[in-house]
Amino acid sequence: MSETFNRNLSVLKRHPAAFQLISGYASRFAPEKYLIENAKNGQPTLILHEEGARPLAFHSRYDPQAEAVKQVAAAYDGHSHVLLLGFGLGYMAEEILQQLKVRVGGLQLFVVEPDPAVFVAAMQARDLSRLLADQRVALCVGMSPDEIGDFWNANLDWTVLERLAIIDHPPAKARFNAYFERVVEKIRYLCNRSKGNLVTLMHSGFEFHSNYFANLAAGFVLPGVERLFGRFKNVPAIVVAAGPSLDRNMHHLKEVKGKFPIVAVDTALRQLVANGIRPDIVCAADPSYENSLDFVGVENETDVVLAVEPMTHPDIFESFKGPKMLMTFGGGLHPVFKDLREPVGTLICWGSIATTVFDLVRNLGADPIVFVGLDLSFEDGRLHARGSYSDDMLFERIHSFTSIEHESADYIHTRGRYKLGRSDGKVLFTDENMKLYRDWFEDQFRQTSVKIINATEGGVVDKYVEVMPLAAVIARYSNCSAPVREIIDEALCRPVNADCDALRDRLMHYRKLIRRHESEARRAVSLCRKLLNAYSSVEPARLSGRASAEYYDIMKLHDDICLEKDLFAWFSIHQTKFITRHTMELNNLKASPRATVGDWIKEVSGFLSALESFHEYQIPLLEEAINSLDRADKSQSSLKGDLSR
Amino acid sequence: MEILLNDNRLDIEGISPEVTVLELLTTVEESLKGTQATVIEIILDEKSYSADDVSEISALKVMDYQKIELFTATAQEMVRAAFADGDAGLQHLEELAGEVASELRIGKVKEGMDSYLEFVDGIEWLVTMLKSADLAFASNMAESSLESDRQALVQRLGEQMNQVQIAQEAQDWVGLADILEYEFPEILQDSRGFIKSILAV
Repeated sequence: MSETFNRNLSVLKRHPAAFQLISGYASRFAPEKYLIENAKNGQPTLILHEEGARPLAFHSRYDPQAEAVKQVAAAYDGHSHVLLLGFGLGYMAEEILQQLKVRVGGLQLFVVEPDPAVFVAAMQARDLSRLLADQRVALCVGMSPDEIGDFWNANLDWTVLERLAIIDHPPAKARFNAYFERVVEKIRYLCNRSKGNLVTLMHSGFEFHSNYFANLAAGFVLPGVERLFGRFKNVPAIVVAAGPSLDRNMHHLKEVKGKFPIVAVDTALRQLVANGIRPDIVCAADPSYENSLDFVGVENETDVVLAVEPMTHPDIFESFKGPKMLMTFGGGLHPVFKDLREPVGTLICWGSIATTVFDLVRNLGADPIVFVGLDLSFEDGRLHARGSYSDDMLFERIHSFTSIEHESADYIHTRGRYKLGRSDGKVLFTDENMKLYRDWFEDQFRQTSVKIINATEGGVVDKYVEVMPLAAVIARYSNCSAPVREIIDEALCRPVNADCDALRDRLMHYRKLIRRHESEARRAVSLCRKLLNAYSSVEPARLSGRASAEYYDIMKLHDDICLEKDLFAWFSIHQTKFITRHTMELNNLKASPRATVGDWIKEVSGFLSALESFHEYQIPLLEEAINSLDRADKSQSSLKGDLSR
Repeated sequence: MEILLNDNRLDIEGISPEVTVLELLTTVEESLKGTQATVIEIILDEKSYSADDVSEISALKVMDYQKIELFTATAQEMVRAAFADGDAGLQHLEELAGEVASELRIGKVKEGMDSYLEFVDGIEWLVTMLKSADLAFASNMAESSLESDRQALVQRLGEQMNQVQIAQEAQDWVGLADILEYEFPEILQDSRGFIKSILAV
C-alpha cells in the first residue's frame, strides 16, 4: 500500500469502525477494477471497471474539485448538518467542510459509502488526513442502512440539529440507488422519532418523573418481566391492540386461552373482559390520568398479570388488585436502582403501548407473533374497539345535539388527514401518530427474525407480515402450545431480590447533594449579579484577579452540575425546554469569539434560575419516596413479626 | 379575398370552399419549379405559419381568410439568413451546453436530457449550416483559408458528437457533462469566429 494510504490509515484510527473495516479490506482491493487516473488538471479521478458493465466515471476527467464545488452549491444552503451519500475520492466531503460555516459542536457531516473499495481507492489516491482528522466528520463505510441508523442515533447530538441537507454523489447514487433510498428512509424515520421523543418529553416529562417517584417504593419490590424472557420459545403468542377491528375477531381468543400467551395493551383490557376473555398479561406505561381510566371496572381481575412501567399513573399501581410485574424502558429512575435489585427486563417503547407489548412478546421468545386489533387507522368511523376509554372521553362531549358517532367522525375528519392504500386496494384514513407507529412496526418487523402474522382483519399494516384471519392462524398452530399459566405463576412466585435499604440510602444521598447545590447556586447567583454590573462587556479572557476567579468558579459550578449524571438527567426532564435551548445557546457562545462576560453570565444565570425551580420540585418527590420506603419497611417488619408469632 | 406572393398579387382560379391552404401551397410550389425558390412562410390574416407545418395547414380552408401572404426564399438566401442569426444561435447553444452539464453533474439526468435534445438539434443545425456555407458564400471561401477552417470545424463537431453519443449510450453522465462543459465551448467559440469571418469577407 502507498505512503499516502498509510498516512490516511493512521488518521483513520479516530473512526474505529471504518479503520477496522478498511485495514482488513485493503489487501483485497482490486486496483484494476477501481482505476485511478489523473484528470486534465492533475487531480486524481476514479473510473470503475465492473465486469459486464460499461466504465463508470466517479469524477470529472477535467477538474474534479470544480465539479464538487458545483455539486455542493446545488444542494447546500447553510444547513447545520449534512448527510453525504457516496464518498468517491472525497472531493465533495472536503467542499462540504469548507461550506459548513455553522459550528455547533460534535458531528456535522455524516459520510455514507457502501463500497469499502471506493474508500480504499480514495485513501490510496489522495491525502485525506485533514478531512479524516476533522472532528465534524463521521464515517459510515460498508454499513447496512440499519447499522447507519443505529450509528446516527448514537452519535448525533439532536439538540443542535437545526437543518439537515441530504446530498448525493450522483455516480454513487446511480450505482447504489436502492441502498441510499433505504438509508434516507431510515434517517427520516429516526428524525421523526426523535422529534416525537423531544416533544413528548417537553409535554409529559414532568408527569413521567413525578410518577417514577410516586411508584418507586411499590415498584422496586415487584418481580421483573425478565423472568419470563425466553420462556415461550417457539410458542405462538397473541398481541392484542385496541384498534376497531378487535370487535371483529376477539371471540376467537377464547380458543387459545391457556395455550398461547395473550398479551394485551391496557386500552383493550375492558373490551376483552367484557367479552369473557382474560389476557394473561396486560401492559401499562402511560403516565396520564386518562389512561388510568382503562382500568376502571377491571381493577379486580386477579387472573390477569399487570406488567407495569414505573412511569405509569400511580392510580393504576394502587387500584389494580391483580398480580403485578415490573418492566422498564431503561429511563427514569431505572439507572438509579438497577444495581440494587434483580434485573427488571428492559423493553422498547415507541410512543404507543402496543410497541412495548410487541417487544415483550418478542423477548418471551414467541414464534409466530400474532397481532389482533392493530389497525393503526380509523375503521367504520371508530377510533378504537368499542368500550375503550376513548369512547368515555368522547362520551363526555356529547350533548343533545350530538352523538358519539358524530364526535368520532369529527375527530376523524380533523385528524385523519393521511390516506393510505392497502395492497388489496382498500383506502383507509389515519392520523400522524398512527402513521408513525405503522412505519415503526413495519421497520421492526423487517428486523425481527421470527414470523409476524397480522390477524387484525383490517387496518393498514401489511408490509413484512403475513396477513391472515385469526381463525386460520389458530387452526394452523393448534398443535403448538405451552402451559401458559404455570410458567407465569412460577415467575410470579419466586422471592424478589431487591435491597430496599440501599435504595433509601441512595435517595438520601441525592437529597443531600441537592441541598448542597442549592446553597452553592445561591452564592453563584449573587456573584453573577456582581460580575454583570462590573464586567458585562468584557471578554472573559481579559478578566483578571478576583473577578477572573469568581467568573471561573461560576462556570465550574455550572459544569459540575451538568456532569452530575443522575441529577442532571432529572433536571433535564423537568426543564426540557430550557435545557434544549441552553445547550444551543452554549454552543453559539463557544463558537462566537466575541462573547462577553455578560453573554456568558446571563446564560448561566438562566441556568441557575431553572435549577432553583427544579430543586423546589424535586425535594418533595425525594422526601415522599424515602417516606414510602420507610413505610413499606415498617409494614414488612411487622408482617415478619406477625408471621414469626 | 387576396393572395400575395412576395407582396405581389396572385390570381388563382377555381378556389372552392373545400380547398385547403396546403393545396394552395402545393399549387404555388409547382409554379415555382425551376426558380430555386421555395415557400418558407405563410401568413393567414396576419397569423404566421411555417410551410413545414403540413398537418396544421392541411386543416385550414383558403376561403376562411381575407388575406393570404406567401413568402419565398432560395437556398442561398436561407443560408445567408442562418449565418446572420448564427451568433445568437451559437450563444444559446453554449448556454444550453452549460445547463445540461450542470444538471448532469448534480444527478438531474431527466431534466438535463430535456435540454440535451435541444442542444443536439442545435448542433445538427450548425453542422448543416457549415456544410451549406459554400452555397451562399462560395466566392468568399475561395478567396481565403475559410474553406479549410470550415472543414476542420465540421470534423471537430463530428468527433465530439461521436463522443457525446458514446457517453450517452454508456449512461456516463459525468463524461457527457465533461464534453459539454469543457470541449464544446471552444468549438462553439471557433464557430462564432468563423461566422464573423465569412460575413466580413
